[in-house]
Amino acid sequence: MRHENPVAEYLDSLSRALSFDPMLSRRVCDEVADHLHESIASAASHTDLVHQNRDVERAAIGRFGSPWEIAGQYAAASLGRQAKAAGFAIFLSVLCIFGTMKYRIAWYRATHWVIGSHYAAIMTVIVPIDRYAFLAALLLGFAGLFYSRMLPPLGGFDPPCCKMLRRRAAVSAVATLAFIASVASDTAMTAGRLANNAWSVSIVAPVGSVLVEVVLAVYLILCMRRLFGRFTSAAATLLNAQD
Amino acid sequence: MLKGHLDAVLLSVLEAGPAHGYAIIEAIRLRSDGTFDLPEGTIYPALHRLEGLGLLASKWETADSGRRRRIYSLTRLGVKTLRKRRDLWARFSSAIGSMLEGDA
Repeated sequence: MRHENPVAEYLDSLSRALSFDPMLSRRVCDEVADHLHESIASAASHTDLVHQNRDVERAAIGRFGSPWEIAGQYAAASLGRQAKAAGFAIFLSVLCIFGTMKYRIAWYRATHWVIGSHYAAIMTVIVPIDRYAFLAALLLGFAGLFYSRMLPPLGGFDPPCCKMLRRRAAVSAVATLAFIASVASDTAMTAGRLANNAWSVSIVAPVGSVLVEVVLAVYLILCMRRLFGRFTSAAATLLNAQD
Repeated sequence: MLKGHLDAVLLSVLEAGPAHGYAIIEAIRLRSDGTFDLPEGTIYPALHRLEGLGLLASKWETADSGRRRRIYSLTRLGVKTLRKRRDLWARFSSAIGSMLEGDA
């Protein structure tokens, strides 16, 4: 977007450079706008060249520094924080589906709901998938949290930092895939029981618990999509600007 | 050279009282007699980092001009950290001073 006003143009560039963290972008742009206006007012009060207002504005922007460099100083910490939050969300989701699984098993025992014998063959495949996918999600979720704690504080947004963040994000992505596999197999097993038993209002209990798992899986997919989108956009704009 | 000491410089400026970004930059320029004329944008990531560490607190206020302004102030942890950084700097500068002066 082209602006007649250099300050508005600068703020627009800064906002685009900080697009990896919209909340931070709003805060920084508000602070920078105040700073630039004060800097311009102060410079203008020391000069008689009122007709050269644009030059005063450009000089203030020049003293402030490149928007890409400033955004680069925020990127590592912000993306690191977002990756850590995603890792924490995965870990909590895994604990939550552990609870819903235990709840369903207790409910099946109490109501004597069993899987039909004609589903037995397919269950020999689904049950191990469920078990190992859940274990993988739990271990990878834990590994992601542990990895985040072990890493040194991130400095500038440079290629080594990108590599570290990419590793963190990859662990979270694999944990999310394992989580999805576990939820899919839980859904299939619940469907197997539903098909074999008479339906009543009480099916709300197992179906509701599976729905909770599906909602968590969708939430994690959206989290990962957002994390990778922001990471890719930051890497593309900020690393290219440094070259 | 200032980069490694920017945190301590920012803490020491805010020891005098709460201030916003532009006032902090001006104070650094004045107190260093213009020696530290760093790119103004560099202090904001540092201020946000120090806030994240709990050394600074900040809040929005409305300036006389009507614009929203973020005001930073030292927290108790910030005061303690500044004291430690000062002690460290006093020992470091005295040691370097002795080294550079030599036996003369």
